[in-house]
Amino acid sequence: MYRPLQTKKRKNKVRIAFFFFAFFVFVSFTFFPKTFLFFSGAANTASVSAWNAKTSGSSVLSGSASYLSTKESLIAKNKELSEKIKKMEEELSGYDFIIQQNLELKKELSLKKENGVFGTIIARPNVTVYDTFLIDIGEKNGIKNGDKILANGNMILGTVEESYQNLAKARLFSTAGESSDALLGPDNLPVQLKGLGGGSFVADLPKEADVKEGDSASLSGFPEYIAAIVVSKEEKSNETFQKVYFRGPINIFDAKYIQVIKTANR
Amino acid sequence: MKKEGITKRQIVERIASDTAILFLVLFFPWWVACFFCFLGAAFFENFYEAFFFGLLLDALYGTEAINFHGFRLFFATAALFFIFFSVTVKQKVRFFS
Repeated sequence: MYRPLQTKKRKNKVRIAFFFFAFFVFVSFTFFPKTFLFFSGAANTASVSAWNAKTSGSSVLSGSASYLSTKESLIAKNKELSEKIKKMEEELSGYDFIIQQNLELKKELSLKKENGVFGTIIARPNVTVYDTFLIDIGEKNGIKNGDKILANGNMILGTVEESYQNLAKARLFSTAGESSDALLGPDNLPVQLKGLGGGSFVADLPKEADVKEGDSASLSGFPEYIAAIVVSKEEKSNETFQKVYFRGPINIFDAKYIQVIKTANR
Repeated sequence: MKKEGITKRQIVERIASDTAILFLVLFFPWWVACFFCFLGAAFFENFYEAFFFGLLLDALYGTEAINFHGFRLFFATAALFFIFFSVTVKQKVRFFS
């Protein structure tokens, strides 16, 4: 009888000590944000090597796996990739016009060419909890909070939120709950893009607004970069507004490389 | 009489599961790690490690601006509530006693 009671008392002491420790952690992280920043920096720094190992390991494995594929699976994969290329060629025909327009605009405005730092994405949605990218460049590469993330040279994705020595966290504009002011289509309709998460946006526009699938939106202050592309719209007969759905300019679940540009002078 | 106390095998199992969950936190979607933390709490006694994994999720993937509706320590708080309730529920449920 005596021994189990002593064990139970010891377990309760451990539980109480744990909850006190958790309370202490909460208080220090809430009222002293720098302690959480330090902890976050240490955790991210320790994880960078693991993420980098995973990135290089994946490329080695995918190369080796091709030797083990059967003939049928290779034929099926070939067919799938051919269809994908055909679809991308169709999409690209729309982008050619945008790029040409962009170059003409830049020439007219004599904008200075952006110098950016290239980085690799080491963690992306769905691994990251929110629509965030973890990239393998940081303060030692000149990255600062507030710098913008680009892809393919003309697509803007998000903003650097936290930068550490060798790592930076970027919040994408498509993060759920995020709102961004943008200009849509050739008429530069002002819209407010609301992030839905997963690289998607939604905006409310007047019913009479002329919006087509494939129209691109650029952020206010960054007219030379594509921020979102219209995929569909939803109209209801008894409402004066239409819901327009957008997707981000790239597939954020597959993205590998980005460019960070300094925006302090904008 | 059944001997109380932690065996070597239990320690090894616990370390192995903690390592596996750490691997999941780093390389798999967050909900996979959460699910296995839930399983860990069901099978191990006083799975306090879930709190540290929650803190890790908040530290790795959240920032001042990127958080759950303004609350930065969402996963750590959820883990704490879950640990507390799992301890209480397991005391009441015959399967775990």
